[in-house]
Amino acid sequence: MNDNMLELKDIVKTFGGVTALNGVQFQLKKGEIHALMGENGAGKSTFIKVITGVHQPDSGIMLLEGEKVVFHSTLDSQKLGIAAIYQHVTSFPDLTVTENIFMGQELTTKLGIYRWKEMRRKAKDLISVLSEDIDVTKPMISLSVAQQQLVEIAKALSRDARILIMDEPTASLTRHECEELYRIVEKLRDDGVSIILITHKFEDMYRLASRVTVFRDANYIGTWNVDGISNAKLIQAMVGRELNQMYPQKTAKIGDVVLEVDGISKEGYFKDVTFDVRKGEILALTGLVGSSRTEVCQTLFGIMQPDSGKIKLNGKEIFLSSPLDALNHGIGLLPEDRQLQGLIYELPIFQNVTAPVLNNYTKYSLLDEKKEMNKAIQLCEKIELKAKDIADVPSALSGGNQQKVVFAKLLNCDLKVLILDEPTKGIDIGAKSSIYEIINELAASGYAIIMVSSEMPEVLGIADRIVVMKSGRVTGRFHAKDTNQEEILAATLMKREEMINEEVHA
Amino acid sequence: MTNNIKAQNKNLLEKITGYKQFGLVIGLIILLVFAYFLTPSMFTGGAIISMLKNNSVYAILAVGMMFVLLTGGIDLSVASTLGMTGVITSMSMSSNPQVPAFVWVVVSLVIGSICGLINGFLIGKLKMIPLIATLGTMYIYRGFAYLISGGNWLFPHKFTAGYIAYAQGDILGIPNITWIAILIFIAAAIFLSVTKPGRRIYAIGTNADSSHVAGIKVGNIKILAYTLSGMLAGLAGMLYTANYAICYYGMADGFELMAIAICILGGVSIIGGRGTVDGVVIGVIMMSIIAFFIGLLPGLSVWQDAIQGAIIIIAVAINIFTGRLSIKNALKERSSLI
Repeated sequence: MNDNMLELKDIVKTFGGVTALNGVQFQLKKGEIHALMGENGAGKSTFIKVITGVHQPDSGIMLLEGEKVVFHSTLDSQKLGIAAIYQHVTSFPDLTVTENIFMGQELTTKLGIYRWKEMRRKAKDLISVLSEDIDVTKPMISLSVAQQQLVEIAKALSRDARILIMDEPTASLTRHECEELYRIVEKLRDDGVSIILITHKFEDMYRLASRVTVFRDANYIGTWNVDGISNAKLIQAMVGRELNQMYPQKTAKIGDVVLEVDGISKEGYFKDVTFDVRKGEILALTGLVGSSRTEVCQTLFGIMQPDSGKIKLNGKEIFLSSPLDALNHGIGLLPEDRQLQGLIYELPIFQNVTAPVLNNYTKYSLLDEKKEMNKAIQLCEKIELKAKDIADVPSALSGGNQQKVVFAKLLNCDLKVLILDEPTKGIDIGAKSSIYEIINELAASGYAIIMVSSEMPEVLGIADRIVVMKSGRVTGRFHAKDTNQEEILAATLMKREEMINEEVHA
Repeated sequence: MTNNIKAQNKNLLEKITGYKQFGLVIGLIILLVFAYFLTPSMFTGGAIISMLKNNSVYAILAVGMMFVLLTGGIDLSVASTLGMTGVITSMSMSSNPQVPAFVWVVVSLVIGSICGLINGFLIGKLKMIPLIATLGTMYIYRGFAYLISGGNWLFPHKFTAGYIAYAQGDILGIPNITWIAILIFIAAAIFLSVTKPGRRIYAIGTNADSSHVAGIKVGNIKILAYTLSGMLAGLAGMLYTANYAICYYGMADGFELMAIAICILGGVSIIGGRGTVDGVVIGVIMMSIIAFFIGLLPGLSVWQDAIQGAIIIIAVAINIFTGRLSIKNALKERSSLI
């Protein structure tokens, strides 16, 4: 007998040509909290999906209490007591909280008839452990993101899990809520539940975990006892090199204010957001999930319209009723999800690059493909795109190079302001630093850049100024050179009462 | 931290205006008032009975269509399923008049279910796009109806009294076909509100990925929805032939679009996840009144299709508007947390 609850060996998983997991291993002891850490794109999310049966590994074995198991679906893993709380809330917005908790394992009579009353009572019991102000009869959509996350936790708790996987459970919680969660997680562990905790926060790991495993670029790096490890060692394991080499030397000269955001509000999303960005400057907009920074960017790009407040470009107030409006004013957006919004995967690279400004490539009103290709090649050389052929489709490229194509597309438009929404999301470390170089060069060539990012080192490493948001409000403004990770973190976690105090003082 | 959930004590007025179908009911009342003053003859007993009889088939098809729309799909094959099943049951009935008519009800349910199961298999297992899969089977089932009937018509004298009674007979003055539709409505309402598979139909229509992660076999729920739609279409086929005592392969052509229109009018979302049986009931009543009303007004009957189309568009426009309003309200509630 060994005391491993769960053991995975040599797990390989590929998607198309991309290796998401390259022979990784993991051991979870009974009643242990085991942290799994690594940068975005290290393969953590894919790994849990393998454990829960969402994905099937290409090769490798999984042992549950020493016995080999194969999961064909989440149903299989649930039956054996494995529950997961995913990073992205996976809810049914139109259904009630109660149904969200029980969906997939509804309480019914033998005839399959819902036992609504019992479900509601149980849901109330489960939720009341986590929060006192969630009405279980309300539809999910009326809850805040943090509350929705709590419902997800309640959902996992409802499954009497023996193994609980939590993917960044504290990402959108306030400090107070985090404490509550720690308490709950510890209690679960004491009740004999084995927990895999995926987190970016060292605090979560030190507070809860007894061991930590690190993945990097789809590979297993190592497992350590939390007692015997230092931050520096962990960071090196996660990043694979010293951090300071990652970011380029600043070369941009900062000029006049280009874009000014003056107290814009949008009901349900953000309130009283004010900041400005100058020519040649990189302004980082950061905050946790649910802080509405993405919505602010969408507003600046004309996807959403603010209820109140002003947006000024070069001192003149502008109204953006659509993305086309924004582009015409010289504001471009690099969307967060390049697969959904950034690229057209069926079209060759050069057509992706020229798509927004096709009018520039016509001859007698017909497209001149040669002209398109030449321009695209010129732009792609500028950003050092690694591609075999400009007529290839983007799906043949790595994540980092795909992102470069999106950059080339933006460069092709006549823009003054670039909004970059998580420009390095899901891109491996090596490619990241070349993206940083591109961003830096863009700033140097006179663009005003707003970069949304959740990665603290990235924010500190590349931005000139940093604006922190929390729950739709600005909670901190910093100059990158005179701040540190702790200060920014404190602002991202600022409580509602403090925010209001802050405003009174300001 | 101690703001406990308030008990929801709503007064009657709030309950009425809070009713999801409130707008539809108001629309229906306005329509009835109009109809009452413009065409009083509509409200005579005979007219109402014939209206019920003629629209019950639509009602049955619409319930099946609702299941499918709730999953985020669409079923274009229902009218063809109706045609094929009607041809099979009525032709078999005429050559075997001694067999009790009840048998043909069962046969229609079985054939319809098989047609629906095929759709469900194509969509739930082979992951075909519902529009394409059912467009294909729409032609296939209609083609079979032609093959089986040999292009021949079946006239009233061939129909047995027992067969016809399933649609044309009455209990308490209300035609049997309408009773059947009412029973189906009740069964569907119960199925969708309190049973596991019923609620899962909503779940997969709201968020198929989440459903998958929650351990729901999304494909199987889709198969169920299409099978139910087919089953009801099959039953509608038997009842259609019994109601009119006539059968030919091209019957009920275009009824699938009518069923979709009724659902849309009744507030069923075409992208899935939203819609209720009471909405569909109101949709059926509205659609039948409109059709009847227009038919009675001299000179307007040529406008029938155009007016029905316009009403669908108006209803959907109102739906979009109220939908935005409710999202806005939800966001307002959320705003209190910012």
